[in-house]
Amino acid sequence: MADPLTNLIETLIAPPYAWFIGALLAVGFVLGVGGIMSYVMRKIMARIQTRLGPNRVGPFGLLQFLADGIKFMSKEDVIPSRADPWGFRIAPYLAIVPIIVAFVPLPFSNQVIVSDLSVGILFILAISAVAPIGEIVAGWASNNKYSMYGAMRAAALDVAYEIPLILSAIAVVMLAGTMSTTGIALAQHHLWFILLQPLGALIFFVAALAKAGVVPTDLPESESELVAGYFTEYSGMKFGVFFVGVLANIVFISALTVLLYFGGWTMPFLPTGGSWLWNLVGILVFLAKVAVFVFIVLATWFTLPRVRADQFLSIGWKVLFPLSVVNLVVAVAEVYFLKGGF
Amino acid sequence: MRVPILAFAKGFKETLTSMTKAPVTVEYPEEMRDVPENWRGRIKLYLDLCVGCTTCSMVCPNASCQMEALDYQAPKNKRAIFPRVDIVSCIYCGLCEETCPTDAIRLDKEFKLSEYDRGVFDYDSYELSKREGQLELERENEAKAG
Amino acid sequence: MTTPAITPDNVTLKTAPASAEFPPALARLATKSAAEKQRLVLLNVGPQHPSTHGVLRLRVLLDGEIVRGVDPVIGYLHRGVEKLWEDGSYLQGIPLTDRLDYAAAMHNNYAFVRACEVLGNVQVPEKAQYIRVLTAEIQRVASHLLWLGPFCLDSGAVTPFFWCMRDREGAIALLERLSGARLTYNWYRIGGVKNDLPPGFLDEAARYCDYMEERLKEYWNLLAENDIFVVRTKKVGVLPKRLAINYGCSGPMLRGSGVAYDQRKAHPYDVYGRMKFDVPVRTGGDAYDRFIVRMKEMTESIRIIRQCIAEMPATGDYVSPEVGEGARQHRFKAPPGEVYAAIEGGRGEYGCLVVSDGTSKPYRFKWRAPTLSNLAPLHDMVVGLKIPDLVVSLGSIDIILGDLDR
Repeated sequence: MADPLTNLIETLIAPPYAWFIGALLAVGFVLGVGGIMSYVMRKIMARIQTRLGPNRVGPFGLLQFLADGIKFMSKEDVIPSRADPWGFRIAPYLAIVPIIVAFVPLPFSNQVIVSDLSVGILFILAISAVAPIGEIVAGWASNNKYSMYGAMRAAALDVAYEIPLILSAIAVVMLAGTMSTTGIALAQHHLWFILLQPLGALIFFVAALAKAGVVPTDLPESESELVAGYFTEYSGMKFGVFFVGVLANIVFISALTVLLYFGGWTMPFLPTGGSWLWNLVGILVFLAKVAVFVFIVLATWFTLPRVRADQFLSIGWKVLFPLSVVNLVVAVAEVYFLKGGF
Repeated sequence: MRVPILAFAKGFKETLTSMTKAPVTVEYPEEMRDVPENWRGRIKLYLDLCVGCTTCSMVCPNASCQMEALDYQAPKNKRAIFPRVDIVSCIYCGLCEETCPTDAIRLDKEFKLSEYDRGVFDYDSYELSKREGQLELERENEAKAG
Repeated sequence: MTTPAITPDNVTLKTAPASAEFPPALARLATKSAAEKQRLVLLNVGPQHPSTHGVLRLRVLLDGEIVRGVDPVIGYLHRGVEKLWEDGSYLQGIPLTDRLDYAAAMHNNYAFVRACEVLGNVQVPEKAQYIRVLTAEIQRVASHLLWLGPFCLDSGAVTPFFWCMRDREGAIALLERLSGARLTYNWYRIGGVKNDLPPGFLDEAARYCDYMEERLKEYWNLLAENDIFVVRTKKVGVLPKRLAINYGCSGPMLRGSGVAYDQRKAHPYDVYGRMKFDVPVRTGGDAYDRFIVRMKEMTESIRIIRQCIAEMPATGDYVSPEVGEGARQHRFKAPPGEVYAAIEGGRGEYGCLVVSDGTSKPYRFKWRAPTLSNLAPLHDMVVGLKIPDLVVSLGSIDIILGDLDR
């Protein structure tokens, strides 16, 4: 294809090393976005609370996340004496690496993707299901009752909300006809799936919020009840990694929602690619949509109180699970009528 | 199951409209709120007005105000004893200012009292007084005389 | 006998025994079966915790997430205030009262000077009475706002905390203009108050009332009908009426459980008898009811403030002339006797028992801490509920450690 950008990259980087560059891009993007999100989150939280956010470090406080990063790195790495030595050390990375890896098949525009897997969405959902294991290991390895409670809640929460999440995603896959993430976005060129699957989108969003670990659903952390839940004993850079992981997770679920229900980078009246200009437009459109959803998630975080653990779990099993099955049946019906047969 | 759309919508309306309001932060130390006239801040002594009745030291609730003998002649202070306040342990309650019969000990509006060196707080009353009260009195006397 | 110095080399960590004994207060709750005892977990919601509102320690016996027993351990903020009172005069006791319930310092001052006035048979001038009622109600608004912020934080909503702090600034600024301090006012005196109202104060207070009425609507919209908040607080921390009376609870704890008792209506003091206001009472006894009672109390306080502004005498003494001000307060002598006087403050019934032996130093002061009686039924309120409910119930009691521990 006469895509100058792809040709440029291919000529610059010989294929054997392209995967390495891609991996670096994914890591850099996720960590960078996590850091920037900490600034954005603090500024939005502050404005909702009628106060200024960070505004001293750098113009408008833009360098605050760098200062926070330096602070975290310069702290003493405290490991409780009876914590599990390897579990404690590995847990933060178990929580963040799956999110980084899950960004690999996520398309920012046509052809602007680290690796367009043919089973993209399956890969994303499977890998992001590993992240809660990091929370559980962190909670268990800390040798602290509060952490253990956080870990148990994380386990229950993720079991309960994984299923509605996946069932909603399956409905989208059926409508799109492909598991490839680029394919799902392209299938929405003329009609965003939000219009076909409003219930599914709602279920997906609530389930994704549950996985993100922000109020109203931050059971594993539950700051006012469990001090800090599964990362009570963490300090310094390990805590920094968890913190960035939570924020990157918010961006991740926003990106996933945008991809599955709001067309990814495609807009109905714009071409989906073909030249570097449209690819660039696609990237900007995608980022704008993700920003809108990030704002929605943050506004929900700062407005609503926390749902009680057992109430939230019962909502997951008794309400969202049956509804997501119903949604699946609706999707089957839509596929039949819209595509004229199976 | 009731979908609480309306209730959540009301809540979101509150938080989102409060984003449009101006922040209430006062950016200290570039901006500062004014403190009212009767703000209970640092102790200020006017040695010349002190009569050495020791009421301030008797009324101080946690014994921060003690009397000390100074080599200074105040007009009505026969015993030449003056209050000495440990401004670290002072609770800024204002009882000494309230009970002083001659208004010799007052609470200034100054509240920025932090120092890096603890030894700096070891004022003696002549020093405390000299810093503000006495200079003020001397200026008043000069204005009246000249 | 000298003990050897402890250095990092020779200190040994004691490992807890495999089957740790439960503290005696909770032992009665641990069932006899060994299997169930094995399952119970003793969680120390320690003095440092984001939700204990101060240095309160709770030893919680948990079965999974269900609370089987709560044993509060108090005393981390005990400063021996009642002993300190014996050292000084009546005037010197007033700064000490500020530091009891530091969220509502005027109310502590009020109970203290009321007791002294009843003992010394002091007539308080009318203007001073109006001033005291006005400032007590402003203080009640500030105190309830300081409760509301952490209560919302306990249930997870992070925003109302900052709004409460912002709104409280208005009340604190008013009281700062009067007394010169923002938290420990040291302002009421025996027979009145320390100084007269500064010019323009009543207009500022009226503006604050208008401002607060708008803000209370905001809080109502955000919280009172929010399904998540309602579900978190309804049927949580239920305090039955019989228990509330038996434990001696007071204030919103009592009125949330259906007992319509308010010192301002039952034994009116100063000019409360002339004020027209309602006392909100709810019958459920759960955290939501206490929340509604406190929100409505703030509205009623604003009503009382407006009435005081309208009826404030233009001239009058701000302190009783027979007691005087300044050093004469320090020389105040009460006839020998014993008096208990109580007022209705932010947390309930603030009471002061004063025993005088006729000199200018009181013989004995005893402070009735409303928080201590309010905290007492915590175990009965939360047994069988879950950890988040424990936190919300504790928040709805509205404890201030300065008052609890004295």
